Amino acid sequence: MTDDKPLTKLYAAVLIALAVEVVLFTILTRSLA
Amino acid sequence: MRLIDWGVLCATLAAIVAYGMWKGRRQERLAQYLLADRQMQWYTVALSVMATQASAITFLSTPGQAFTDGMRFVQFYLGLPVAMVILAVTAVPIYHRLKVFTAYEYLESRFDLRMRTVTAILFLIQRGLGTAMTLFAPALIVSLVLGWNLQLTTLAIGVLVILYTATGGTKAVSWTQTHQLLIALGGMAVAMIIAIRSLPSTVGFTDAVRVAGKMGRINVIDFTFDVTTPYNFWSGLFGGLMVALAYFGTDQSQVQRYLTGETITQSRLGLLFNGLVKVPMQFFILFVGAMVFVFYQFVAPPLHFNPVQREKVRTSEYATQFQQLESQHAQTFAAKRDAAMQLVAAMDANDSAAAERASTSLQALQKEGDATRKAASDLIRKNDPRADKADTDYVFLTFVMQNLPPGLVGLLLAAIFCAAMSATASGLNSLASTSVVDIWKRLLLPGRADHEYVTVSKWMTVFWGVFCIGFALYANQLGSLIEAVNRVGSFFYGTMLAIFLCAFYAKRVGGTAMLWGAVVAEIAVILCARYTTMAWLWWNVVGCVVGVGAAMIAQMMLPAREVRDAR
Repeated sequence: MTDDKPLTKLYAAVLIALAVEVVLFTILTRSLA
Repeated sequence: MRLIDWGVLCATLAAIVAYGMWKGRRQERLAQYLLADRQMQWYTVALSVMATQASAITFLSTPGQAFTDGMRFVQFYLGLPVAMVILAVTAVPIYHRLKVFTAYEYLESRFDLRMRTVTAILFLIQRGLGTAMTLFAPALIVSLVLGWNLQLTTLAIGVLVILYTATGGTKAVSWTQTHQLLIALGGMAVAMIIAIRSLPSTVGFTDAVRVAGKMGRINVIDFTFDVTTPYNFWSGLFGGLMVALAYFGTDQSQVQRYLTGETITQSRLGLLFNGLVKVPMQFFILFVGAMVFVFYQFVAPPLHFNPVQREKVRTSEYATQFQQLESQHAQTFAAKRDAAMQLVAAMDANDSAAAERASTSLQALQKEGDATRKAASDLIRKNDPRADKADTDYVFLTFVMQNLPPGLVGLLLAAIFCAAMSATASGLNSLASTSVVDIWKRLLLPGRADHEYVTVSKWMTVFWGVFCIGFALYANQLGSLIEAVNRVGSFFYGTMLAIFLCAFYAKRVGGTAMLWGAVVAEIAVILCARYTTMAWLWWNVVGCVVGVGAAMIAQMMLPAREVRDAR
């Protein structure tokens, strides 16, 4: 019940994925406009 | 609807309900009924969390949003991954260690019984209305496009949900949600493939994307800072972060999903998976809408997508005017189709000058078409003042009904019903939990046997189901339905987030100060909504900042209190 593994790398992965998505979306928006 | 469509729809719904009731059999303890005995693995938690948020409004209204306004709505979700990380680090361990059944239980140990009760009641109001809308919205759209009776459609969805949610509890809800979400996403993928395959043979997938781009539908990111418009990068990141923190951190309908995790790690992984997948998922759903938009550049769309209103105005005193608008619309469409074909040919031939000319012409014709559609909507509202301001919510279902082959229509309808049922089920489950744990057991009839509270929980589920069905039958429409649901949330979420932020991080703030903070925060939100042009996403920020600030100031004016640490 109280298993508490550190997930630091996963937290970083989620935030990096968000940043990558924003960059890709920006490229997509500007290239297709 | 053909026989095969009815067959697919009914078989899917029957299977879901039966599966839910079977999965949730023999629930005798409250921990079993409300939290699935805390035995769920991360993937069930993740899909359950996602399915709770992705109601039928998501699958019906969001593609329509992309059709009329482009894909920028995806920015609303940019704050969500950040919120998932914050909650995984902070809220999940606190809730798990205290072994709470509801998020509001924690507030009693941190503040006092008064704050627990106030917050629980705020939740019941806000989630009760939200769940009613979750039920009403798809019923309305489906009944209008298919010609079904609205009351019966609402009743059908509501009764099916009550059946397996009341009998099976959280376990039934979580397990059915995993399948419902997959069915819904599968249905959307099918619709997108059909939209693209139905384009003229000279128009490929890349052409479709480029046409959508030129027509302003692939407007995914907008870095303009403007507090009066809801969909830009900044409002999405900051306002969206507040909404997500409040919704996933303080709303029992979500908290209950990840409290079912077997361990802290399983709950965290479930939330983080949501953080990874949510934005791409919403991008995909909006992209389906953009493809439907492209489809309607080559296949004539109706002037107005709400068939009931169309018929009403055609048989009214405004019939001639509407007919003129329809023939204008047909002429504009023919010219647009030609321009679109020229654009595609020019892009394929890498002739940028010709592409630019065709694009300019297409955009001008689109503006003309939009003006005609607006004139039609105005005429419709003249004829029936209670009609919707726009037909955004009917676009996707109209596309499905008119263009998908037999059998697949039934699948898409099943997908929409699944989405409606999954979100409604979570709502009812959480309403019952809070009613029983925070009000009935804590305040009215404490000290009873566990199995008695299980029975009360089942009846509470039925009660809230009946309430939501009743309210749904009398709900009003407020612009786009997906916006309406989020607007209702944004009235309360900022305040609720302020309460929990102070609970987690501002240990000096006591119950009395927090109560004052909550009152001042709500007043501030109401003033913003009433007297400013501030977009509703920012109300969450206002409620949260004012709530925290006012609570801290109030605490400074009150006698010093002993710090209670519930951890």
